[in-house]
Amino acid sequence: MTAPITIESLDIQGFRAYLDSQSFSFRKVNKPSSLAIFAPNAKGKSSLVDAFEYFFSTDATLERLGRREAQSQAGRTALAHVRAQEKNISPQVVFKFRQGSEQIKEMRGIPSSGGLPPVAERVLAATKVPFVIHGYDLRGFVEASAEVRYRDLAAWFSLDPLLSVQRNLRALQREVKGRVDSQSEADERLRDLQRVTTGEVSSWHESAICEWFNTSILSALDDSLTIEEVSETDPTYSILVERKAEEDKQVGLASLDTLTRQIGSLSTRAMHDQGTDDGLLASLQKTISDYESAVAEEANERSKASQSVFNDVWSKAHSLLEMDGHEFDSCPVCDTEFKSTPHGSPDAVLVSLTDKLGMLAAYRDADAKLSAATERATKGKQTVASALEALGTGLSDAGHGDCADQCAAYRGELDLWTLGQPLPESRELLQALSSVHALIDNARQRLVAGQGAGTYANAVKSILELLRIKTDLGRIHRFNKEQQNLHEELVRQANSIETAIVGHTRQLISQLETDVNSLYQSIQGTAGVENPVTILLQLSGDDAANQQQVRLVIDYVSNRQGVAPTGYLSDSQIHSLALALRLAAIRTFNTDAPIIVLDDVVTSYDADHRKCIASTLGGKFAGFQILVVTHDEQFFNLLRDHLPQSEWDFRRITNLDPDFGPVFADHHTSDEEIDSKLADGITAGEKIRQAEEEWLLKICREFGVSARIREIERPYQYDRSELAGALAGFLKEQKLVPPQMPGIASSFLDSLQSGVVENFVSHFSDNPYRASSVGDEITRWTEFKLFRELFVCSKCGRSRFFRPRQLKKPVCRHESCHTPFEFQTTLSAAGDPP
Amino acid sequence: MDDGIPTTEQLVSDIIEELRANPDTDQVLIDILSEHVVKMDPKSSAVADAATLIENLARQRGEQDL
Repeated sequence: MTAPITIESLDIQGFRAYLDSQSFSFRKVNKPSSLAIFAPNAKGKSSLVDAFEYFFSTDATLERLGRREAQSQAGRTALAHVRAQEKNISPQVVFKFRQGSEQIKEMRGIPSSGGLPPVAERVLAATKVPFVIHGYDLRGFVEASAEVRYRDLAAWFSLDPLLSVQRNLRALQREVKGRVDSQSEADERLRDLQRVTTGEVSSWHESAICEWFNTSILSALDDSLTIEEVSETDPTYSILVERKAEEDKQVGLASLDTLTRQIGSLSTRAMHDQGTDDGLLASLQKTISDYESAVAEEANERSKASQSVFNDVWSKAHSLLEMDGHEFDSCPVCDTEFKSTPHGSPDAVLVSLTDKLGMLAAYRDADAKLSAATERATKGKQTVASALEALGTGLSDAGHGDCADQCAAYRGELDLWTLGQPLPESRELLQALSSVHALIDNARQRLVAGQGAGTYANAVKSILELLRIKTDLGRIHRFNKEQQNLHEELVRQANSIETAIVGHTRQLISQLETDVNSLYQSIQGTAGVENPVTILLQLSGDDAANQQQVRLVIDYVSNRQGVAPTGYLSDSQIHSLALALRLAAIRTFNTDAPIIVLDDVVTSYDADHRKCIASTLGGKFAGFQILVVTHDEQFFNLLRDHLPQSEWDFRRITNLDPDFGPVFADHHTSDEEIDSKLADGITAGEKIRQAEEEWLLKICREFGVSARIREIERPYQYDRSELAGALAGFLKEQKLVPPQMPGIASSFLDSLQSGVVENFVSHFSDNPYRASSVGDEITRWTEFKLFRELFVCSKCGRSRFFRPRQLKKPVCRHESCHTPFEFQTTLSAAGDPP
Repeated sequence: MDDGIPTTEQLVSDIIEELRANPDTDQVLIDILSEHVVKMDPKSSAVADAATLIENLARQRGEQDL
């Protein structure tokens, strides 16, 4: 069994909202882990889902980008961060996977080159069900047509080959039935019957045909003759054939037919100018060629076996040397010492003898072939000579003396000819035979035409035609019967196969149905409830054409069974049903790559249902790696409450920095980053503000500062002034007064509270319309760092605090210190301007 | 997936074997079906090929009936 494929990490840069590189780990304590991300809308959370979709997209795009034109700067262009080029960042998505002990890291750049990364192909091969679930298109499976639903299920169940079998079986049945029903061949024979009977008989009724033949043909010739059946065994048939032969003799046809046969037996080319010559002359020519080949082969083998005189000696020596258990120093036949021979040893002599005996065997074969060829050529010559003699006699009797002389002359040449010489030239003879054949054929046709309807020749011709029609119709009938039988057997076998396939499909669907119900009840929180709504996936009826439909219905209550869900379920219940269907399918079919991406799937739920989904993910998807992306903070908090911290990471995006990307709550803007920018004369206002906010959030959290209840429109975000205000209030309440900083007239905290400067890349001034400068930023950054330095432990100098609920003042977090916080009265030199 | 449910490939193989095991089954016909139609990767000409073979079989059997 193959180990499942799991994700180790995802790194993104220059992609969608992510400008600088950010990394996401999917591994905790040496085990695959899951990740939940909360962010308000438009803060870059979907870019993470996009990274998944892009990496696994066969078209290297996102479905929702569609095929927009490049000129609109949308479509694939939208995949790269708008500032990636400007900042010289190469847009890319990098995944690291693990399968057993194998680790695979692959990158997909933008634009993508070379198709799907191999590891993406491997993951897709292991996942039959699409594992990225978008909340916005989740209901598709519920609301899709029964045919579309079947198509999806067929893909998940790998039913495509079975669909192909079903489709082909139906087509084959139609094709064979069409051929069974086709009567074209029989109709053609019946048209022949009508022609022969001059339209009087149109179907094969033996008695009617005999009646027609007796009345229309035989009565004019001999009214004592009748036929009882159209058969060569009918006594009248033999009489008709005999009388026709007599008739032919009387009119001279028989002798002409004999001459024609004789000419044909000598050379078919003499009768027909085209085609292969199959007559005796051609056969003799071929026999001569075979003879010449045999002569050449025999000569060749004879030269190789020139020492055939030694055959007996070699054979004896060979058999003695081959005997086991005997070692000879000298030849057992001629007593020559082996050492003194060119071969030097008994083994070498044995090899040489084997070769020589082999050559002698080939010679014997060639000699036998030559003998046989000689015999055939001699016999062929005699056969041609006899045929020429008989033909010459016939031609002479029929008054074709010249041609008879030609035959005699050629025969004379043949008598003188011996094997080894070229065969006498037969061209003139053939021309003469051809001319005579044309004359004979003309004479024959004139005689046949002159015989007329009232002749035995015509009677025999008619009955032969009837016999052919009867034979053909019999054959066609038997063929049709067999074809009909095969069609019936085909239908029977096809039905068995269809039944097996449908049974298999039902079994698979039933398995999925059980899981769907289990998950639906879990999501709805109705597990264990009496008579819950039951979801049914029904393969449509017995009609083969309808078996490619899957109806999705529910048993709602006892008197509403098998009803459409959309008619009875609420919007959120339909959403739950859709979610249950997809999750069940993934859980059933994607075990080789247990990955799920849930993109905002809780849009229409109340708190209880959110809790149920969180609980379902925790309880029913052990072994799966799940990425949950949501803008619903309550759901995010529920996930954090319900899912094990050892297997899950929970991260919040606090804001979207256009110069960086989504900023996570656990992200810290480093001093070095800002110092570096300022040293290079690059504006860092935005970063400075971010660093201030991060620090304010940290110190407020550690001091246990109560922030005011935020406006409903912005429930998720504290801004700098809010945090600064809350901190100032807390310090004032605790009578903690920050010392005045050198060179700064007003309290730094006041400037934070005023919060008048909110625009990115603006200056830090009470006047928001004043032009910004890097110098202003340097001053501001220096002041902030000096201010931050004030918040250190007065005893140990550490900067981490916490405030237990029972204390008013925060204390140093270090376990051996826990000194209550007080401001230092002096400042270190650390905050010197850069 | 449930281990008791065969894979698609296994199912196709089982169907053919089951039909072959039935003494009433026309063995030549099931050979034609398994060779051309009831398989995982049929050719695009599978139906036409199978129909021609069935027709030839009917013709051959018709001749044998003489």
